[in-house]
Amino acid sequence: MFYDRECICLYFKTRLHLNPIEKIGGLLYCSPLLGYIVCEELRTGKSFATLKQIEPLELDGLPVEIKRYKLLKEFLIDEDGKEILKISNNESQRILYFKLSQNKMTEHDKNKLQIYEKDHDKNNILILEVDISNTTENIRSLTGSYVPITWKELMKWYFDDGEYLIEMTNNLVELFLNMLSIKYELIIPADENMKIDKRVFHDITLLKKDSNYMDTFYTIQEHIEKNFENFEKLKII
Amino acid sequence: MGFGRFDNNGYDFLSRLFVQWRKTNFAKIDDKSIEILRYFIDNKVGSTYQCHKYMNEKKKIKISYKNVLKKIKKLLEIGVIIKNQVDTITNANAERGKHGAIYYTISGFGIFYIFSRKIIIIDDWELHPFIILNHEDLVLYKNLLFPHIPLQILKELKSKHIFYSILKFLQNCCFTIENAFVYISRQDYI
Repeated sequence: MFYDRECICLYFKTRLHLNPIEKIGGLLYCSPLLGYIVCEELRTGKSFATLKQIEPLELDGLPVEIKRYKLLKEFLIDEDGKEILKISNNESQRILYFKLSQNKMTEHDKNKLQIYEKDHDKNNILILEVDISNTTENIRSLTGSYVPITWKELMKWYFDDGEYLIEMTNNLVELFLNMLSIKYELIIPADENMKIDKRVFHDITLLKKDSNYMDTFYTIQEHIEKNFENFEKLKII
Repeated sequence: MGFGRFDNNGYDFLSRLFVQWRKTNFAKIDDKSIEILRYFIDNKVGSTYQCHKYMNEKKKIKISYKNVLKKIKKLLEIGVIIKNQVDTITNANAERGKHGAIYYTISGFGIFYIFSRKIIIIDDWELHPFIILNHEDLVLYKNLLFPHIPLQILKELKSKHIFYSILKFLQNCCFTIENAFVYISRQDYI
């Protein structure tokens, strides 16, 4: 158990096989006396969570100001991928509750990883304890520091989902629309007499023979149908 | 939709790209150096002498050999070109000169730099297909382009319109990646 009167530090550092949690780590400072919580930014699967998503938190009737909110995305994630961090405030127990990703943990890990609170009313201190056998180091010494990670791992976190992928998908949609001159036609109906370079037809015919291209094309078409009104033009292929 | 995802090698590529990008984030390249870069886009490898010849004879840009060398050294310093060694980003080997001349080739970071800074696409008609065709081993292409349009198909494409779209796509992708790099680099744990 790691705490002191003014600062409760919760630090998750699991065993090596508990990838990806072990390398990310989470750091939470909870200081009722100072009245703020500092933790790492939460990154959801799709977008960065806003502070509004966190329920108002009070400790002994005093609002707790959330100064900064950040958790690396894979640290805590719900089964359905939507609710990643849940903070509830139970007056009787005053629990800061993290919902852990059950599907990313083995049964063994689930048994080992326990979060519970203890009542320390007189000190107005929240105590969170993480029971991760064999893995807890000198937590206090780790406070304020970060678990070393490789650039490659960092890239995975940022490039594997979220806004980046949405933008990349848009880039690909634009590519396909451009290639077929569809982007223009979506805005201005194509002139029946408009001459198109024969080499474009050659290339499109060539592309149509390729399964990779067509697979992408149909997926793109599906995407367009959902997001654009004049998607009919795309079906000319 | 799984577009834009990277495989294991892709993340490795991104990480090295990011490290290089951080080193040279604010590096600016002058117009003549951009022309030199264009030479390396269209030519898989080249020496200072060849580059000097290209500048003066083909591009009609008057520049002394000494200045070409100076600019090449600067490009080398930034990391957009590499000399006779294994490219840390593409892992491609540059060819060795026959008469002791140092040969250079564009690096994986160089290609990323060219796309993200919009160096090559000045107009629709000045295309540089060799930026893809001469660098087919680039992980960026393997992850983002070839899964949708294989290299063999790209080699057979004839219309500038289509190829321009592809280059524009790569440009947008690199721009997206650079935006992510900017975001990542602003995190205080970086």
